[in-house]
Amino acid sequence: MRVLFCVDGSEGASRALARGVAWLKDAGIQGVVLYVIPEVDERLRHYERLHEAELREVERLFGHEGHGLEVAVQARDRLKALGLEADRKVRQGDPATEILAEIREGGYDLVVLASDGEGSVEEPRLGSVSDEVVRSAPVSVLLVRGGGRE
Amino acid sequence: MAVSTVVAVSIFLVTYVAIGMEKINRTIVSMSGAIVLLLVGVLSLKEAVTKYVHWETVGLLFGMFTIIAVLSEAGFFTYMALVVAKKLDYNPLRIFVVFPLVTGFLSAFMDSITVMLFFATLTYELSRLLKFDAIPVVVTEVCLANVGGASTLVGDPPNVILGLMLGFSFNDFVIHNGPTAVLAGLGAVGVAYLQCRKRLLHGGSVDRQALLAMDPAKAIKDVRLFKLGLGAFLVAILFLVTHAWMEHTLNIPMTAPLAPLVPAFFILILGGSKTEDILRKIDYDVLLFFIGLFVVVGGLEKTGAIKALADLIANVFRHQDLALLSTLMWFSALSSAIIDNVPFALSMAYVIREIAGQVGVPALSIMVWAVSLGTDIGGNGTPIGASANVVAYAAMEKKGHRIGWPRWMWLAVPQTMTALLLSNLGLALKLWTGFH
Repeated sequence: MRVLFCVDGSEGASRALARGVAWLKDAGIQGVVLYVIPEVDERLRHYERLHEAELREVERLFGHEGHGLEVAVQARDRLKALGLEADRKVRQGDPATEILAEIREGGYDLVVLASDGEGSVEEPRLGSVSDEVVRSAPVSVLLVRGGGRE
Repeated sequence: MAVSTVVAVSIFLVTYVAIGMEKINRTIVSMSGAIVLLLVGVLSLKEAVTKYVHWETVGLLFGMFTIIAVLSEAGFFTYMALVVAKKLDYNPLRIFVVFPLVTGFLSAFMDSITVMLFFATLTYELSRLLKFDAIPVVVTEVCLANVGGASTLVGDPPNVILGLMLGFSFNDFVIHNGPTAVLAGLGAVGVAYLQCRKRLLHGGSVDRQALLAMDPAKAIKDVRLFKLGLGAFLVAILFLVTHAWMEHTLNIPMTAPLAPLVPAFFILILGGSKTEDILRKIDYDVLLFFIGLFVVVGGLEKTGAIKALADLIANVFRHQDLALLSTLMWFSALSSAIIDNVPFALSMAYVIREIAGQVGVPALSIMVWAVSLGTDIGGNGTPIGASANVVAYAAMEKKGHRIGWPRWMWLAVPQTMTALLLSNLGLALKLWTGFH
C-alpha cells in the first residue's frame, strides 16, 4: 500500500505524522513524505529568478539544499526513527492543489495529513487545506489531529 | 473640467488602484494605462516618448541595476553579510543592531530590493544556526533599508524621479536628506532594540563549529567579477559625487545618469562570458513599469489636472510653510504605506514643481525633501508598502516563517513613526534655519 504523508514544517503536522506512522507502520506500507512550498508573491519569484544561482549558493554555503527539501528530509528522518523507511518529495504551489496532483500522479492508496495547522500565532496551513483534500481526493484520507503532545 | 482631463484622471486612478490591488503584474498595468492614454488621444506617441518619459531616470536605473547585477553574480551580498556576522562574533544581539545598519547603508547606494532579498535569506540562515528569532531582525532590516534609501539620489526610485526631474544632485540629497535619514535610522533601530531585545533569543545549543568553519571568502563566486563590480560601483559613486564639478569645471558632460552608465558599460565590455548572465539579471520589468507610469502621469500634466491640484494645495496652505511641509511628508508616508510609492512620487514631482511657482509657499528644495522622506520611510508601515518589504516578507513566508500583517505592523509601525517624527523635526529645523 502506497501512503502519502503530508507535512508543512509545523509541530502539529509533525505530531500528526508520528501518530499516523504509529498506526500504519506494521501494515507493510510504502511511504512518501510530501512538503509543498507555499505559493509566494509574484515579485519574490521574479527577483528569485533574477538571482537564482546566488540564492542557491547561499543555501549550499549553509549546508542544505533549500528550506522545502529540508522540511521533507527532516520528516523522512523522523519516519525512519519511528521505524518506517520513506521517500521524500517537494512541490511548489497551492498546497491543496499540489497534494491532489501528487495523489493523482503517484498512485497512492492512502493520504495522511494533519487536520489542524500551526496554531493560533501563525496562520493555519495544512488545516486550511485538509478540507479541500478530503473533498477532492480520489483515495482515502486519514486526518490526524496534531494538537497536544505525543 | 475638460473631457481630456477627466479621461486622463480616470486612466491614472484606474492604473493606481490596479497597481495597489496587485492582481495583475504592475508593469502590465502601467504599460496598459499608457497605451490606453495613447489610444484615446490624450497624448501622442511622439509627445509621450520625447516629452514625458524621463529617459534620464531610466538610464540611471539601468546603470545601477547593471552594477548591482555584477555584484550579485560575483557573490558580493553574501560575502558582505558573512564578513559582518563574523566581525560581530556571531552574536545575535549585535547582529540585530548592526545588520539593519548595514542594509540601511547599502540601500543608500543600491536597489533595496536586491539588498533585502539576500539579507532576509542570510538572516534566516544565521538565525537557524544561532537560534534567534529572524523576524524582528528582518523587519528592522527592511525599515532601515527604506530609511537609508532616503539619504541619497540613487537610494530609492522616488528619489531618482524627484532629483532628476526637479534638478537636485546626489550631493544635494546627501547634504540635506542624509543627516535626517541617519537620525531617523538610528531612532528606528533604537526603538526596535528596546522593543525586541528580551525576546530575540530562542535558546538551545548553538552550532558554533559550523559557523567557525564558514569562510566568507567562499561566498565570492568569481574574484575578477567581484573586483570589477566593486570597482564599477565605487567609480559610479565617485562620478555621482563629482559630476557637477566635472561638468562645470572640466567641461566633461558627465551627468547623473552617466555616472553609473559609464562604469556599467565598462564592465559589460570586460565581462566576457559573464555578460549574458549579467544582462539577464537586470530588472527590465521595473524599467518598463517606470516608462508606463511616466506616460500615465504625463497625461495628468498635459491636461491640467496637476496644475489644478497644485493650485488647490497652495491655496489651502498659503503662508503656512510648516503645515504644508508636514502635510506633504505625512500624506506621502500614508500613501506609500498603502500603494506603491513610485506613481505617487512621480505625480508629486509635478505637483510640487507647480506649487513652487506660486507666492507664499516654501522653496521647491524643502518640498522635495519632505516628499522624499515621506515616500521612502512611509512604505515601512505595512508588508506591501515597498517592494523590499514584499520581497523580505515573502522570502520569510517561503521559509516557513509567516510574519503576518499584525506582527509586521507591531514591529514596523513604532520604528516608522519614530523615523517620521524625527524626519518632521529635521524638516522643521531646515525651515527655521533656512538651510535647504
